[in-house]
Amino acid sequence: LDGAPCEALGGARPHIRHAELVQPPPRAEPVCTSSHADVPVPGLSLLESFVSAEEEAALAACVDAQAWDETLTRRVQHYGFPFNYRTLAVDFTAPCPPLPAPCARAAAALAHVAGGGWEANQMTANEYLPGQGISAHVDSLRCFDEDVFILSLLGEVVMTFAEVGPPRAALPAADGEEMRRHVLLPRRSLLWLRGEARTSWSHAISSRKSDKVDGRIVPRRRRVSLTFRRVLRPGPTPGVAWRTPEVEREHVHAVYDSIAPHWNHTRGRRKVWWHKVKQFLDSLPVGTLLADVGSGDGKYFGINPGVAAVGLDRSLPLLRVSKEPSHETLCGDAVHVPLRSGAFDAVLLVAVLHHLSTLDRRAAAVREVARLLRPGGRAMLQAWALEQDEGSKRRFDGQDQFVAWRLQRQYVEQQAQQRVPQPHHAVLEESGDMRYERYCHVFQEGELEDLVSTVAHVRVVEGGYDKGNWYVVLEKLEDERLQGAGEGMPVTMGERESVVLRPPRRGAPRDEADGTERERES
Amino acid sequence: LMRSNVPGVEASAGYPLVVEAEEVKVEESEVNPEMVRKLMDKVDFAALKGAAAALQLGELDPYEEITAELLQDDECLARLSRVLLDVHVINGALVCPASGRRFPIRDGIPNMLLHEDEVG
Repeated sequence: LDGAPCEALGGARPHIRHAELVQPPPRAEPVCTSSHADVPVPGLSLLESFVSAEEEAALAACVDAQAWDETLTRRVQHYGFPFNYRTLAVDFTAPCPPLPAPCARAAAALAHVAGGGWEANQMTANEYLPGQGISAHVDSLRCFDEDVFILSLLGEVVMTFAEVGPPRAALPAADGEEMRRHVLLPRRSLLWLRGEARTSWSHAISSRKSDKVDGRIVPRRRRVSLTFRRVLRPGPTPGVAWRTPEVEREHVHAVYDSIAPHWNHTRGRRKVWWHKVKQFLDSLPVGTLLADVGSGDGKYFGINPGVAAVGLDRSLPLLRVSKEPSHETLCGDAVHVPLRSGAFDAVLLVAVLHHLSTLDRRAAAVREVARLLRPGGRAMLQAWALEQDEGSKRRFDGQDQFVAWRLQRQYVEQQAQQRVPQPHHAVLEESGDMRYERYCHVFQEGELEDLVSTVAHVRVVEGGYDKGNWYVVLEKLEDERLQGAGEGMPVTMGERESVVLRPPRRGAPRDEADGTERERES
Repeated sequence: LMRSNVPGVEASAGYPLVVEAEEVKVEESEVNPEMVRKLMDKVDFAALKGAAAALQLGELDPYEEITAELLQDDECLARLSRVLLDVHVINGALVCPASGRRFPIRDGIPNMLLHEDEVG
C-alpha cells in the first residue's frame, strides 16, 4: 500500500511507516434506547401519550369489532382505500369502508400535527402478536404522500430504522455493516415519519417475542397499530410512458406497417371477432359513442349499427387499407390518446395491451381508457393469455415473447415491387416466405384485473377467459368524491367532521373529548 | 372529440383543434334522430360551429345553441346530422391552438403521432 494510489482514500497515496494487524472489534449488540430523542433519524418524531387510555380502549374496541383480513400472517384491516400486497399499490377497484368514527376523530387530530391542510384518507390497522413483525420497507412513495403517522395501541414494540441506499458515510459505521437505529414505540404514542425518515429510511419490526430496551428484556404483548396516510391519485407519468421503446418500434409497429398492404388478403374478408367483444358491442344501446383504441383493420366497426365509433390505431398503413367511408379513424398512440376526456359511452382496448412492453405503458393505456369514459361508461379490455387452450397450436413459456408471423411468398414479391419498408429483423425463409417476429407480453390469470386495480375511477364488472385471451369489462365510477380532483392531486374524502380536537402538549394530560360534536378552538 | 396531445399543453388549452381543409367530401346518409340527439350530448356545439365555419359550411349559422326543442326539430336534426356525419375532410390539417403544431390529414385520416423528439 505504501506509496500506491488507494481507492479507499479517493486515489491518494498513503505514506506508511508502521503497520500491524489489528483484530476487528466484536460486533456490538444493537442498542435500543427508550427515548427517541437519542435516535438521529431526520424527520422522525415521536409524540408520547397522544391518546388517553380511554381513547386507546375505544380505538382498539372499534377495530376489533370489524373483520380482520387474514391474507398475510399478521391480521390487517384497510379503510378509505385498500392496499394490495400483491401489486404493492393502492387498489382503486376494491370496495373499502370509510374510516370508522373514532378513527376519523384520531385522523382529524393528526391533521393538526401535520398542519398545512393535510388530512388522512387512508388507514391500515395492523395486529402484531408476540413473534410477529413486518420486514423492512419504505411506505410506497407512489401511492402515499409525504406524511405517515403510526399510532400504537395496547402494546409497545421496538421499531428498527435502516438507511436505504448507499450510506452517506464513506467508511462503514463502527457498530456493524449498516447503520440501524432502534426506537421504542410506547403504548398510545404517535410516530410521525416525514422527510428523510419517510423517504430514505426503511422501518421494520422484528418477529420476536421480546425486545431489549436499555439493557432489560421487555416481553411483547398484543399490539395494534393504526397507520394514517393520504393517498395520491395516480396522475399521468408523461415522458416515461409516452416514449416508444425500441422493441415495440421494431417488433410491433414496423411489423404491422409492413404486413398492412396484404392484411386483407391474408385474413380474407371473413371477419374474425372475439366472442366476448362482439357480445359487449351488441349490448350497447343506440346512440352509443365508442372509442376503439387499437382499431387495426376496423373489424369491429359496423357490428352494432347503433354505435357511432371513432377508431384509433398506431399503424397508418393499416388504417389506410382498412378505411371505409363511414369509419372515422385517426392515427395515434394508445398510451396518449388525442381524444377528449369523459366523452365516450364505451371504449374497446382489444389486442393492444399485449403489444406494450412495460408495466408503465400498459397502466398508461388503461388510464387513458378510464379518462375517455364518461361516468357509468364501460370498456372491454382484452389481451393474449399466457395460459393457452389445449387445442391451440401456441405454447408460451414466459410472458415476454416474440411470436413468428409469416407473409406468403406471393405477397413478399409484391412488397418488394412496391418497395414496402421492412423491419431490420425480417428474415426471408427458404420457402420464400418472409418471417416477422412480433413482440407480445402475454398476460397471466389475474394480471389484467391487477392492472385495472391500479387505476383510479374504475371498477371491474366482469372478467374471464375467451379462447386464448383474458378479458375484463370495466366501468367508470360515478363516485362524487373522486370528481373534481385535478391531475396528480391527493384525493379527499369529502366533508370533514366539524369536531376539532386540541392536540395534546407533550407530557401534559389530555383534555378529554366528551364525545359530542362541537367546535373547539384549535 | 379530438384534443391536442402535445406534451406540456393542458387539456383545455389544447381544445378545440383548428380545422384546415384542402379537400372535403360530402356523403349523404340517412338521418337517425336518436343517434343525433345522443351525439349532441357529447358534442361541444361551439366547437362544432367553429369547425363548420372553418369549412365554410353554413348549416349551423341559424343556431346560437342547441336546445331541447331544437333536438325535436327535423330541420335542425338534418343539419346537425349532415355536419356531424356526412362531411369528411379528406386532406387538410388539425392545428393545436396552444402550440401551433400541425397534424396532417391525408385520405381522411388525421395523423396525430408525435415524433420521438417531441415526446417527453
